[in-house]
Amino acid sequence: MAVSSFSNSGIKSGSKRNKIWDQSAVENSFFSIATNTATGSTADVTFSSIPQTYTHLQLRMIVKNHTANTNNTRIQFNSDTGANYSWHELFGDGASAGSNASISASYMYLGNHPSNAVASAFAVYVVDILDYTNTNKFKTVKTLSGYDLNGSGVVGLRSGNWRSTSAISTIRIFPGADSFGQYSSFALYGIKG
Amino acid sequence: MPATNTYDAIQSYTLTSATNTVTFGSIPQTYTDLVLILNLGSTPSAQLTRLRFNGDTGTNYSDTKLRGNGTTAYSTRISNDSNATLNEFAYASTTLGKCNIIVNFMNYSNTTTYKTFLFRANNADLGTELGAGLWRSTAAISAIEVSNPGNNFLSGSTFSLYGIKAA
Amino acid sequence: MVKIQTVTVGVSGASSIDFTSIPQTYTDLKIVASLRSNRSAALGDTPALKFNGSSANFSNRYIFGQGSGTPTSGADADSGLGTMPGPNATASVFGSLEVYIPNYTSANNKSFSTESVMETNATANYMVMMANLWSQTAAITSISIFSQTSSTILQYSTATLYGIKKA
Repeated sequence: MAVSSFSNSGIKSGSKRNKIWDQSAVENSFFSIATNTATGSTADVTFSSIPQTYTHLQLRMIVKNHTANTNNTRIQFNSDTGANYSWHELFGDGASAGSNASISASYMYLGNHPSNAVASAFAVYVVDILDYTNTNKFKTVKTLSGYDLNGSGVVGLRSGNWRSTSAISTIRIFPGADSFGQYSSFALYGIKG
Repeated sequence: MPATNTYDAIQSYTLTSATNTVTFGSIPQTYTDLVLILNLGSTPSAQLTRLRFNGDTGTNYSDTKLRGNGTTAYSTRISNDSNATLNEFAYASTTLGKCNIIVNFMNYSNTTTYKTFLFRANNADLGTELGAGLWRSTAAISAIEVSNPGNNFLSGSTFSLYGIKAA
Repeated sequence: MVKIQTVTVGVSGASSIDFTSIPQTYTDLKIVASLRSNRSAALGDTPALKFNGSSANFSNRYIFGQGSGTPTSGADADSGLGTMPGPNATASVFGSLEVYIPNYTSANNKSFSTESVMETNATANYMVMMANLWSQTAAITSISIFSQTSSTILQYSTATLYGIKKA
């Protein structure tokens, strides 16, 4: 391989793998808040008492079903189970591209996750919730998610809205049916803005 | 538990001459997810970009993609491949900087799961793609090889790896 | 990932959201924005960009979904970023927009990646994934976000600019 140049700032300040104060750095804005991992069949995952000190939230997840059924991943906020959600998706399933919607729903849909038929395969999600503490706005969620099982799978961009101006203090993530499979992992991050 | 500051720069490469393959080796196993940012050119012709993990040359890679070429939106699948292909038409062009690729590797150090990754590949002259890729291995990802099949990445192409650690 | 600046639109609305004197010390830029406009009698509006005061020399290819049916794909020679809700969307709903710009200080063309969604409690809705290009070699020193229809960006809209520095 031809010689590549490394960042000079990394060489000057030491190991590239360690954050070293260079006398000009400012505070990082991306913080891990909490993680939940399914240990067996897990009915749902809840993040509660979410700190109100960030501007945005991001969920990063790997998810599969506990049974031999493909299922979908859903989200609710602040224990609201009313028909106060809408969602839309734009997806590809390997054969065709499509879109779907649901309005006045009791949850927000984030994407599908696979069954336990391929034991070690999971769907992955990056879920962004902007301005989650803002009491002047309803809460909009943007999700990139998908999975592949070497012959099947789906990937898509999803959006959703919770029609409430309340600050988000609780997030519940749950499957459409069955339960989450072992090693499904749900990590919550706060982003300062 | 107090929140911990994360999203760390791990390694980066800026090519100083045309190069076929760039490898991130000895990736620290202390993070939860990795984010790979690529900004590429290709010579002598435009070309797709491939990944391999831990030197695995077996047919253990597959993906499902949503693609738009400026005329049609459609979806495709690759199965049992010996590489992960990030951009089937949002190629690295012969002009530097026109192609960018963002890859999220989730739970890359987990030794009980296969490795699924989400990627966005973009070239405004050619199209945009969203993919879910699978590496059928429960090994932790310790090396990522980024390659340009048959061609070379242009001098000036950049490859940056970041780590995100969950609480 | 470091916050550079946040802008919140006040009670009078804004013709644009501006980030000026952008530090040249990072590698990549990321914009996240929650926007709504007052485009007359419209479900959605199109946010757009200026780099260094100009909306010229932009192009894109995109995938567009409308909540039902087959998504479409198109290409434009402009700085559009997809979608944000307008007055005919459910009240108090703001969109979600993310733009990732690698190597914003480089002397090459600047390709970047965009996803934007709006929401409304109706089937018809807009979501867009884009490959964007600014065909200029200047470093990006300022960014403006505005309505492509010259509408007003409404109170409570926000945009944050982040810098990401490679290893």
